[in-house]
Amino acid sequence: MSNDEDILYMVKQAQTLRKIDPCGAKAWILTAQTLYPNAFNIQYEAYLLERDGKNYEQAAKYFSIIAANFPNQHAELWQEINFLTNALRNENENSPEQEYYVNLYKHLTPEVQHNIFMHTINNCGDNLEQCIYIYILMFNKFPKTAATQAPRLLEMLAEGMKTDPDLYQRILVEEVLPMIQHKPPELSPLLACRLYTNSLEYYLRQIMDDNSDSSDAWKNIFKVLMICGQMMGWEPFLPFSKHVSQNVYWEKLVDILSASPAGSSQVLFYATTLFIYSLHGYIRNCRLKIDDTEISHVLVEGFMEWSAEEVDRTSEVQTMEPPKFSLTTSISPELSKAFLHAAQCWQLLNTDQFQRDFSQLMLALPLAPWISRFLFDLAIYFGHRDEANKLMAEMTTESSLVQSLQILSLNLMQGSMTLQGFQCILKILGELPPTHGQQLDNMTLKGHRHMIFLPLTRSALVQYCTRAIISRISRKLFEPPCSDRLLGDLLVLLQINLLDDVPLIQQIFNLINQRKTFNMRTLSNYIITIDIMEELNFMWNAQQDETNFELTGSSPGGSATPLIVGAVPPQPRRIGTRGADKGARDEFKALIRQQISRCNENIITLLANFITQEQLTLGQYIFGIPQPPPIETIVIK
Amino acid sequence: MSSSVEGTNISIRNYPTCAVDALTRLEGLVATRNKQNWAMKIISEVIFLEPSEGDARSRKSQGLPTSQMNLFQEFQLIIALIEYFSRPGSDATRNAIFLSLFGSNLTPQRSKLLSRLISTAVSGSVAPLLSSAGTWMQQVGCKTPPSLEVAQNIVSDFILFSKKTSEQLKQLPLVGPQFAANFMVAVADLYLNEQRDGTLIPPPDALLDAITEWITENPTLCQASQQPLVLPAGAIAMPFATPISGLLRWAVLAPLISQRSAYSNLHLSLLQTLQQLVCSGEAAALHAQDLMQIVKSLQNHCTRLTEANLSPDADAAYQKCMERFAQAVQIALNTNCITNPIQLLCMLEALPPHALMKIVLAAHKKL
Repeated sequence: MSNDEDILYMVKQAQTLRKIDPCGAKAWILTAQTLYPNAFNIQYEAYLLERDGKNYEQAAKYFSIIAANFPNQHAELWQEINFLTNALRNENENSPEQEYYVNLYKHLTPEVQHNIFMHTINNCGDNLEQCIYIYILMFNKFPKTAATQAPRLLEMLAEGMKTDPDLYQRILVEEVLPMIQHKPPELSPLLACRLYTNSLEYYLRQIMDDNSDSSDAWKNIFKVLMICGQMMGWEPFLPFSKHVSQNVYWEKLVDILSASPAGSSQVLFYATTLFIYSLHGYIRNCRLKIDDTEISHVLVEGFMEWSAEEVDRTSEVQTMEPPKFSLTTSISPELSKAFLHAAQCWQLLNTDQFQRDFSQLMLALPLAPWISRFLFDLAIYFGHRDEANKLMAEMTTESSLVQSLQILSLNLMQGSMTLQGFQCILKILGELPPTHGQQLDNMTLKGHRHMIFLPLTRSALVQYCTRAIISRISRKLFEPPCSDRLLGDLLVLLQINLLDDVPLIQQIFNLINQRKTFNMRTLSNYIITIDIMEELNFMWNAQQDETNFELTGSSPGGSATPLIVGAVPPQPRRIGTRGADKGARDEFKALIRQQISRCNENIITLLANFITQEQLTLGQYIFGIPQPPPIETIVIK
Repeated sequence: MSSSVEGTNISIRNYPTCAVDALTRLEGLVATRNKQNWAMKIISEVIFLEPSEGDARSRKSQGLPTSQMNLFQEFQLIIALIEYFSRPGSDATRNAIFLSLFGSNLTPQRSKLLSRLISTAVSGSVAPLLSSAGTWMQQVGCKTPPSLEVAQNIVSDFILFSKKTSEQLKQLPLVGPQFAANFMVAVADLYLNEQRDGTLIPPPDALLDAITEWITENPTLCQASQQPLVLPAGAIAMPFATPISGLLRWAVLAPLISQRSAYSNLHLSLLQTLQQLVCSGEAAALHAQDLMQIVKSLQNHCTRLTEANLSPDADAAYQKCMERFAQAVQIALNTNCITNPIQLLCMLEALPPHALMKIVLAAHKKL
């Protein structure tokens, strides 16, 4: 018999006994081992016997012999090594097989353990994923190896990102970075930057997918930035804390910027991170949740108090200085801060030194929806109307309500209302959200262009639309002649907030006073504010003695529900002031009393109805044409 | 009958106190060679209560029993000895006393008492006494009748008359490794020994299991007898004996009479023991002559097969025997543990062939 036949014979004898007489099988193998110590079959069979008997110590002994003496050649050995490494990777799996391999591993000497990892890594071939997992396993078991081997692992990860970014980003961020964070290896700047970008992308996706608290993600981003910065010898940036004001970060950035050469990558990455952080704060606050209801905020143009003398000067100032933000809601200061910080970073990053690298970075990151929103708001903010129009066409995700609002705002920025703008008002009123909300302060300011973060609530939207119409029509007061009807309708609109427009109201009453007769067709339907009715009442009483004043209101019995005006308006009823008609006087008193009883009605709903009902008349005032086209034919966009 | 032994002040009236006193007195006597006779006299008369020569002659002539010791006194002496050997003291002194008591003049009475004493020491785990007993066994020879009697007695007490193996017996290798090793040498000779009995008698199952467990759990137990002996000055240490060859005979010949898997376990443990042996040429663990005993039994078996017109090739029992024998020979040769290996190989070659044995013989002929 030749040696090979002898070996096969003995192994076969052992195999036939393995199940029925393990001791007999072992006796065969012990003998065979002394005869042919270099035969793989025999050593492997010896290992299998101990494996079957769960004798970890002996199994580990034979496994070590096999691994040391028979590298790379035998499929059986590789299979065992694969089982072993898989078991180590899933240490909490708890199957008997898994338990065996974990115990086997524990009985191997550290040297053999390490060799197994290195052999496996060297023989992974094209299996990048397996190779990476073995590296991770080795770093876990032998933390010291990370110092020398980490660069190769990181290169592999960068390689893997080209084919499966999701998988390898996750591995990088969740498994590899935590292992090397205490002692980051030296890497080429290119690779370090790429790994940071990849980590950033991973966390941004996490932030975008998950609306919960993102401060952990930001903490991690700053940590990774720190690690990558260490790899490249950058001056360390600040650690993240959600309580630290963005100003602090910005000042640190300015410090670093002043000490760095133009276009330095540390400034690029720090500024980009800060930009995205501020941008995220801005976008997140724009979609604030209040009592489980998401209330979006939309950046819109604020109103300026109009006065005939100041027209020229204001238009000049408007172009010179950036606008301010009105303090409208509790969230508006934070929103404006985040917006301004993002804008600062954006401007820095769009200077010549960074622009090229920055735009490449932006392409690599999944920020498109945020950026398009931000750029549009930025264009509005700077009053770049054409730019805003162009960006508006590119934005896709917003609701038609937001879009109408933004078009209206663009319209108002131009200083005149187009037909499209007016149609937007009607559209907005047709799509009012259910959330009621509150009216805003400081929507109209004196003398300076300003911006408003408008919450998408009924009150704020109706207020904004009403304001838009008032700002258009009110200048007619100073362009006589203006009709009774215009004065009356303006009074209805001004009910939104009398205190904001005291001069206008005074002007209207002045004009009414100057007239002999005044027909107020809207009185019985739309005037419910006590101050206005008191004024009318006073005027009526005061002028009773004068010979020639008539105040006409609608008939009190004209409609059961005054807010819903029928197709045929009730016949106006003249109320004479010549004193003779005592019935008329009673009738006027009754009318006033009836309207006073409605003073608690919802002014927002009333005005929304008024504008919708009277759209033809209002359009006529604004555009000065007799018959604006019917609403049905309006197509926005 | 005198009330005190001649030339001593030891009274034999208050037994066993006098025996205990005598033991203490002996410590001084055994150290000096020229007072041996005196010591022997004290042992005989004060400790074992044997009649002096003249006394015995007169008693014999009167038809009276020569032994003076009754059962109760025997019991008292055993207790006294156990106590004495449990006392702190030097191993050399204890061994010298033990050898003086039982090394020569081993009358049937002393021999019987010795067996009882050792059984008591085993059940009481009296380590110093077992240590001295181990030395004694080696000095008188493990396979001599006194040792075999002791071994046989332990088998009776702890295996045959015991329902389950006692913990004390299981612990014996830990309490008295040298004694356990020598006990194995002796007990191995008692069973599956065709030369002795003319036929193959298997050991009791419990004994087989106990011994297998011993050597599996204490891989160096078979070498325990190789520890240097602590002997009195001038004494010559007898050669070591190892139980391996005897137990190997059990494992190899067992297939001829038994299918018990316990033999397979015993065989594997023996192979592992052989594998771990570090043999120098002088202290070889296996003597070719010991293995010849196995060869002879196998030859006898084959002769019987031939007489019955059967071929050893087709005899599963023979094949299994040869398989185990070849395995053991290979591993023993590999660790260089056999004296006169050439002689053995020639004998093996003469046996009816077996595949593994052929491989083994071929491998070692090359050398």
